Amino acid sequence: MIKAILIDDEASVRKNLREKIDAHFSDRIAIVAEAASVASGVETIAQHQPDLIFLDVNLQDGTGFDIIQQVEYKEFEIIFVTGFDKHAIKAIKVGALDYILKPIDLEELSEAIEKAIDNSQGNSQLEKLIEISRDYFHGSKKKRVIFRTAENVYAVYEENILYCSSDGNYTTIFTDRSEKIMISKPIKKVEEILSEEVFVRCHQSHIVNVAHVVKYSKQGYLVLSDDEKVPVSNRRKDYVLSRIFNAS
Amino acid sequence: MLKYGYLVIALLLWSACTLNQKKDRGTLIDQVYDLHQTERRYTNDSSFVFLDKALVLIRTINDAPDSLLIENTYRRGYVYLRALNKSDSALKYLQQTIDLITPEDGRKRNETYFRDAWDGYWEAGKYKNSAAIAQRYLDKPAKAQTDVGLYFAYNALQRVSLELQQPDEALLYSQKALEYAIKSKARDEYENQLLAKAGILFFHQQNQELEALKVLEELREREDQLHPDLKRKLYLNLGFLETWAQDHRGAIEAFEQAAAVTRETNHPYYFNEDIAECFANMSDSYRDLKQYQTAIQYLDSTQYYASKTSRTDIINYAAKNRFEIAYLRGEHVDSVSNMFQSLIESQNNLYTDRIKEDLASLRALNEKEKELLSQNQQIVLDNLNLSRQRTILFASVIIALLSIAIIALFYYQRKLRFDKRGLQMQQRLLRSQMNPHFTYNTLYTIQSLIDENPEKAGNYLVKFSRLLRLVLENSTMDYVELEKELESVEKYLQLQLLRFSERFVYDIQLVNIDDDDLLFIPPMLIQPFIENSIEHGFQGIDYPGEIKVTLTRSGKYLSCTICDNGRGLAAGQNGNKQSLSAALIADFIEKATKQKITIKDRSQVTESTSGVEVSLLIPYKFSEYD
Repeated sequence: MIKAILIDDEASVRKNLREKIDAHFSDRIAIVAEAASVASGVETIAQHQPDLIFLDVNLQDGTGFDIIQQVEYKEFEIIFVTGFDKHAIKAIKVGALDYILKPIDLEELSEAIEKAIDNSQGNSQLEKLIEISRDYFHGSKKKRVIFRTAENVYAVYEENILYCSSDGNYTTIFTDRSEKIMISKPIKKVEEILSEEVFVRCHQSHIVNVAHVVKYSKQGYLVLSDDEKVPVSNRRKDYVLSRIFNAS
Repeated sequence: MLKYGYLVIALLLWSACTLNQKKDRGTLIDQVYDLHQTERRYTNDSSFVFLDKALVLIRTINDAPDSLLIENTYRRGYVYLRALNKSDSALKYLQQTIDLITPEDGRKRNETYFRDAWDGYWEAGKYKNSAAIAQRYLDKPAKAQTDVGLYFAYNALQRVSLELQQPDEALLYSQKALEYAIKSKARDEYENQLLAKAGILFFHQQNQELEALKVLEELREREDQLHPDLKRKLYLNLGFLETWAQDHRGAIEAFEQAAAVTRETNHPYYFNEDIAECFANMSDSYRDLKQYQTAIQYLDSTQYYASKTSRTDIINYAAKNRFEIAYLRGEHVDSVSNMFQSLIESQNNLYTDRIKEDLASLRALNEKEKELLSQNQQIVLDNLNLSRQRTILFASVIIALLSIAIIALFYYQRKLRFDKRGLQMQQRLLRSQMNPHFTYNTLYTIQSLIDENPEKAGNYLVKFSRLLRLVLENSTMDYVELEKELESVEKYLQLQLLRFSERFVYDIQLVNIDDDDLLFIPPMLIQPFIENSIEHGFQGIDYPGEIKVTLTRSGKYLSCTICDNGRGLAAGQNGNKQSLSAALIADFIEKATKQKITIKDRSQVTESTSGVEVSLLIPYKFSEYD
């Protein structure tokens, strides 16, 4: 039986979530406690040492990320519960964390729970992921993103990414330390978590870091600081070049 | 768009600048010819204006034919040659002309240059230069010479030799000249040369009088075809020879014939002179025959005719002879003294008249010069004005064209901007109408569900909130990612499926669009037609409904068809409820794509089918910032 805690400042959301879990997942999940603030959340986690936390991002006295930073016990999975908040969602995605939207859709909840149970075989990086999401959420200067491969979890500074190249459902991230990180996500999903100001989708299957572009060759590609060549699609050329070379 | 505008302006400027240079070589050469033709009609200074112009043109022509520059140089020399007291300048340019001609150059026109050059030198008394030019012609390769040319060259050398007191050479050249005159079948030249030869033999050689006579006899055989002047000279020379032979009767006869030819010709300028010459000679012959009275008569006539000319030598000669005759006749001192007195008087009168004449002619000349000068100034002024006017005209045309282009461009851009803004406004209006419309429709559905099936209603509400979120997100933009728009269409379809539980199936097909393609389209264009199919087309049908949405990329637009198998148009599928959104969309699509939306009843195409097929073109972009 999985021990779960609900942390949300709105009682109606907690009630709704509890009803749904009780009605559909009572055979696997037992909700052991609820909390409505950062302070009570930290306390409740320490007290119950849960396996799963449903965590709201925006709380009255802070954020869900703050709670995770403050607790010592970290052996749990998190499913963020958030309203329609673009910034929060992006922060969660940057940390490669999971979330569901309010109001809660049964299908989405079900998927998130299945995933959490699958992941629960040890997620030692949780603290790291939370830290990155939190940094993003609070608007830290040096942004990092998380890339999960089959074996590893990479935390990469955006400034170190040269470009990304995709092949169908796989995307490879090339860094200025000659790392190649291949993840099983279409390039569209990668584009979503990268900062719009730093990266530009220059081609159907390529995203490039504007800061690393050295020049544009008339043959239709960009030359990067390490002499790597990245193609530019003809139709997007004008837009891409204006983004790269007119950015002030 | 502005970029093309600049391009147009740049093109205009460029063409304006290069218009002058762009003339082809042929036109330029023709212009030089025209200038040369024009130059002929003007005098001195104004000629130089045209020649200078021609020279400038010649220099602009790439690899201009040599003949152009040669002709231009020659014309300059020739203009000086025509002018008085400019022989130095004339000779300078004529010499340049000759220097420009390559030895191999055998054009006919060259002979004119050579002849004018050696004649110019000859007339200026520079005989050696004259001979050098003639020699240069002789040195040319044979194929660059003509017989006529050679005749003239030898003729010139013959004349030069005489001037340089080299009668033997003169005779030699004369012989050569005769040869080439025969070769070239130049009759006049041959006859002239015969006379010249006779002159050399008679006047410049010792004991060659009979030879001279032979030559003159040959010339006399051709009497009938001789030029009158030549004929006159022939008889004069014959007269001299007869005189030399002491045949005074024969001499008088010859001189009389010369006088007859002179009278016959009645040349306006030379008549007095020629006739005076004949009479003077006849008087000599009569004197030698001791027919003093007749001799005196002829002398008087000589003096009369000579006084009308500037030939003072003849007048003096006649006066001298008159005294001689007086002496020979042993006339009385008083008569001679009277004669002397009247001679002096007549001489005085002559001088006075001459001075008056000279003054008058000088004055006339001065007047004429003034006139010419003002004429020249006028021409130069006209030229200047013409070119200035042309420049101003040209500049104003360019400026006018530029202004028109700029104004047109400005208006075009403004129109484009207005059009774009108009379209955007319309699109926003469309969205502002669509959102509440869509929202309320769905809320009504939920309301009706709440009573029937609260749990289903809750589920429905959650789905609706997701859809609403997407729709709201999309509505903030004029263009949204195709994928997101399709996501919202699909969410809408799922919402409807939830409500009508499996009463229809749907299919969305993309043709010629890759997953990775980033396309952006205006939001909320497809959903209303789908809604129409479900709400009205599938109302009360007893078979599973089908909706097929196909998006095909073709050129600048996505062609979209929404096809259902509902009740069709006849059954009121396109009900009043939808007319507002349909009309808004139709209007927008027509403005953006210049194509109307077509709504067809499928039964009209095939009897066995039913339903509605909507086709429309949707504009797309490659980024939302375009």
